[in-house]
Amino acid sequence: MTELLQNLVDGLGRGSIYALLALGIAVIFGVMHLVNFAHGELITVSAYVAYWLIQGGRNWYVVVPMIVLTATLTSIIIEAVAFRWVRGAPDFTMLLTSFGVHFLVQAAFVMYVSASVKTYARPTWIADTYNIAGINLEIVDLYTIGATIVTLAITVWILQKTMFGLSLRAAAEDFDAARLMGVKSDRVIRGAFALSGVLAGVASVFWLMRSGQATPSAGEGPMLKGVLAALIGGLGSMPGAVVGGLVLGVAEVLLRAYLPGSVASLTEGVVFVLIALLFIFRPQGIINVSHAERV
Amino acid sequence: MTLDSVDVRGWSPDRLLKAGMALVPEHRRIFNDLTVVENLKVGGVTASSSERASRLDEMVELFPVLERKWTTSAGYLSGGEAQQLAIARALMSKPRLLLMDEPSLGLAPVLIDVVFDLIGKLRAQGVTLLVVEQNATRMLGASDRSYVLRSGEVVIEGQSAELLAQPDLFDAFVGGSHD
Repeated sequence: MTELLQNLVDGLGRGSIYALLALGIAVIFGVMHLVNFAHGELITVSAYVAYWLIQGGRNWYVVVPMIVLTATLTSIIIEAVAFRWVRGAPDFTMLLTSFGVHFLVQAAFVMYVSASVKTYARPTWIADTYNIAGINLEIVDLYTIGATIVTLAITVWILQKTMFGLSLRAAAEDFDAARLMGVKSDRVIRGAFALSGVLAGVASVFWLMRSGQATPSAGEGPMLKGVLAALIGGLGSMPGAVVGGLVLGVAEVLLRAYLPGSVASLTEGVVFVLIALLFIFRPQGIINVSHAERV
Repeated sequence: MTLDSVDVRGWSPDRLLKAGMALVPEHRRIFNDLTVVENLKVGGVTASSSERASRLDEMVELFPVLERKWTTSAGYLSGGEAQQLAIARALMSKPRLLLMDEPSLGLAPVLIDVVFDLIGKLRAQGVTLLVVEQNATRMLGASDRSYVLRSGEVVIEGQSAELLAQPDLFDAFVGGSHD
C-alpha cells in the first residue's frame, strides 16, 4: 500500500510534466491543426539557458523564471519564423515543417555549441523526500504537482474568463467562423503559441531540475511523451491532454515498479503497446472531441 | 462592393465588423463547445468590454429563449434556438448592415415564423438587412427590395411589393418554390 502510494505520487509528478506539454500541443493543434513536433525545442533551448546561467553562478531562483521566459519567447519566435508561413497549408506540410524546426534547432546546437552533454548542478533538495505517515514522497514530485495545479488553474481561468481564451476556444472549434466574428487570426495564433510556451516552460523547469543536463536532443524525450499524451487524451481536447499526461505518467511508473524484473527494462515498449491497444479499441482517445449532437 | 460609398472589397472581417457590417453565416456556425453567453461574447469581440456588457443586456431582452439557456453549451440548443443564437451573436457587434445567409434553412415552420418576426423587429430598429433566402414569398413579404439571382447574375430586381403582385414573372424564375 505504502509503495503503491509512493508510486502514484511519483507517477503524478512525472505525469504533470507530460500533461503541461500535452496541453500546449493540444492548444496549438486546436487553432492550427498542427501536431507540433518542435515542441521539445522549447525544453532544449531552456536547458542551455539553464546550463549557462548556472555556469555563470546564478541560483535556481533566477533560473526558474528565466526558463519559463525562454520557453515562451522561443515558442513565439518559432511561430513567427516558421509556422506563420505555412498557416492554412495541408496538415502534412505543417507536420514536416515542425520536424524541420526540430532538426534545425538540434543541428544548430550540435554545430555552434557542442554535441556533448553539458551538465549543471541540480537543486540541492532534488533528491530529498518528505516522510508522511511512513510514506516517502519526493519533494520534487510534490513541487511539480503543486506547480502544475496552479498553472492549470490559471490556464482554465484564461480559457474561460478572458476574451483571448474565448477567442482561442472558438477558433479551435471553427477557425473561419471565429474570424467572421472578428477574432484576429494573428492574435489568437500568436497567443496560442505564447500560452503553449508558458506551459512548456513550467514543464521544463521540473524536467531540467531532474535531468541536470543540456544536450541538443534534450527536448526529444519529453516532446514525444507530450505528443503521446495528447493523442491518448484525444488530440484537440484540452482536458483530454491533461488526463492523457497524468495517465501516461502513472502508467510508466507503475509498469516500471510492477513488471517482472526480466522485462522491466521494456517499460517504454510496453507503454507503446498499451497505447496501440487503446487506439485499436478507442481510436478517438480518452475524451471524445466530436461535438454534441444538435436536437 | 461598397459600404457608405467606400469600397470594402478585401477588408478583413474585423475591419468590416468595426465599419458596421456583420454576418449570420449559412448553417449558423455557432460554437457548440462554448456556452450561449460565450458565443455572444465572441460575437462582440470587436467591441470594448463595456459595450459588450451593455449589448449582452440587449440580447437578454431581444432573445428571452436564449436567456433561459445562458450557460448551456450551444451544442445542446434546438435548431430554432441555435438560429436565434447565430443572429444574436451577429448583433453583438451592433451592425448597421446585417447579412443573413439562409436564416430559415432547416427550421420547422413555427420557427421560421420566429426568424421572420425577428427580421421585422430588426427592421423596425433601423438595422439594414441583406438576406439570402430560399423561402421567396415569405421574404418578399418581409423586405423592401428584392433581387432574383440566377447563376450569379441579377435577373429580376425591384420593390418587393411589386414583385409579389406579379406572380407569373416571378414563378418563371423561381420555378414554383412558391408556397
